[in-house]
Amino acid sequence: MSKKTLTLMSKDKQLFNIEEHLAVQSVTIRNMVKEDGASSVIPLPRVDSETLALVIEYLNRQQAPEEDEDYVKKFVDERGEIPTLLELAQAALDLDIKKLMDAACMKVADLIKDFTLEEVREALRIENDRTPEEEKAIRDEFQWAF
Amino acid sequence: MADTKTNMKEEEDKNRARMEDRLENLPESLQFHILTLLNTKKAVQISMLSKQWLSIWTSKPVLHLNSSDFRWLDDFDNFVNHVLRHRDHSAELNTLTFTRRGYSSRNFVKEVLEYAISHGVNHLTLLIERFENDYNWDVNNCLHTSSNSLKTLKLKTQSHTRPVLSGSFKNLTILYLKRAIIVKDHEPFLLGFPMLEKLVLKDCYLGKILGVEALKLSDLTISDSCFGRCELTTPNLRFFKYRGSYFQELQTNGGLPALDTVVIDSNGFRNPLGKRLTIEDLVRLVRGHGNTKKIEDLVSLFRGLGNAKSVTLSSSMCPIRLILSLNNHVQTKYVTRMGMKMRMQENENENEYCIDVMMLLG
Repeated sequence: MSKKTLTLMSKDKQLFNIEEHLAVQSVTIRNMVKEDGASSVIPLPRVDSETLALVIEYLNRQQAPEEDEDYVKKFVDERGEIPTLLELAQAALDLDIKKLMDAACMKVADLIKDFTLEEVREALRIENDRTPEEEKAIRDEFQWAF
Repeated sequence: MADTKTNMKEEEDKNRARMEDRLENLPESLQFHILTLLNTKKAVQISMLSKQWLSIWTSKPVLHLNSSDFRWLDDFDNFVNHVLRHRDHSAELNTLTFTRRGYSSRNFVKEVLEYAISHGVNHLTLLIERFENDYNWDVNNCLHTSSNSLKTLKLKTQSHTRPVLSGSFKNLTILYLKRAIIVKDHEPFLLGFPMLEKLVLKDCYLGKILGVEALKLSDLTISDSCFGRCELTTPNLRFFKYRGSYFQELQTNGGLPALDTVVIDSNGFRNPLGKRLTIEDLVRLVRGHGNTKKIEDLVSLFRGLGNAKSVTLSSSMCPIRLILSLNNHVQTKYVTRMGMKMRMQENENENEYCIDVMMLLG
């Protein structure tokens, strides 16, 4: 019996093949398959090809269940760049792959925990929407948090 | 060369564009999730960075309050007071961990505890190094609270005596107590936890009789604790770990039919000679140094745990190890009689202790 293969399409229209029984680790894909058999290409309009390649690599892992926790940790550790991790977390969120999302977020949290606030602002791309006066006022108000 | 440079620049531009594109749209649920994983101090500070983020921390369902994030305890206490006051009171509170070094006032801990309980916390951890005046704690001034939402409770102290908590926790599934105890009517109280699945007691003073009545309990660890006798009504117990210098009497109501794994770790047998012992040395040792009672208690413990599928004994029981090598068929006999399958761990002689017990019995 040949295994059924699904095709996923990234935001930039690249196609990726993956065996269905592996792809359905994503709850989103599982639901799609259930609904319409997903015989055609599944478009993932918010996931770019580099990230999708990572997700596919993760879904294709051949790990024993007891080693899985370590594997997913190592997997995100090796992609230690915050932008990549955030992208991966977002893709995992969209595709509903909980373990991957948790691990990516955990790694981001771990990386930024010793950052200065300006570094966090840059890493998480938090826009400064305050005037210098407002900035000072909020600092004074939150004195207790420092 | 020039090509490489252009490529690199292109690559950079591409990366930047990619980053800008996606990070503008970092979904709120991700921001939220990441903040939840940080300690509360950092999360509050990050929330301050923009108007849009400001409200995020106030509805964070997870609070990690740790005095090690602050140089001075006064600043930490002030921080905790602010967080509890400014938090969105209608927001769900799933997890609260409160870690405080030094001496903590009972009232302060009580405030934190009451905040957590009144907001329906599910997982609560209180790690208090010491309480002020903890030597004169008794039932009358213990922390009293009850909760139906609490599922996990960890209470750890380094206290001299026994900080106590009283109350009823109907849905508790995991209970971890270190140098602390739950009381009822002046007695340590481990009855009436219908949902309890895991219980760890470490360094606890548990009174004359340690009664554990928990029909769903599957995992029990008792470590370095003082009690006279242990009465278990735990028909679903699968894992039992015991660590201590003495082996207390163990009684069960209805046996332990589900018992699978037993781990016993004892530092109770001293080897004053500091050398490998012969069997004669060992017999002299266990009979001559008040150890006979321990052996008897251990035998009683084993009888109570008789149908476990796997028993692991700690290597700190070293004097016993020598005996097994004397006679291998004794092991088989013993094992058969007790109905236990011994698991070899670390080295193949790990289960020598049992042989010893049997020989002394015989």
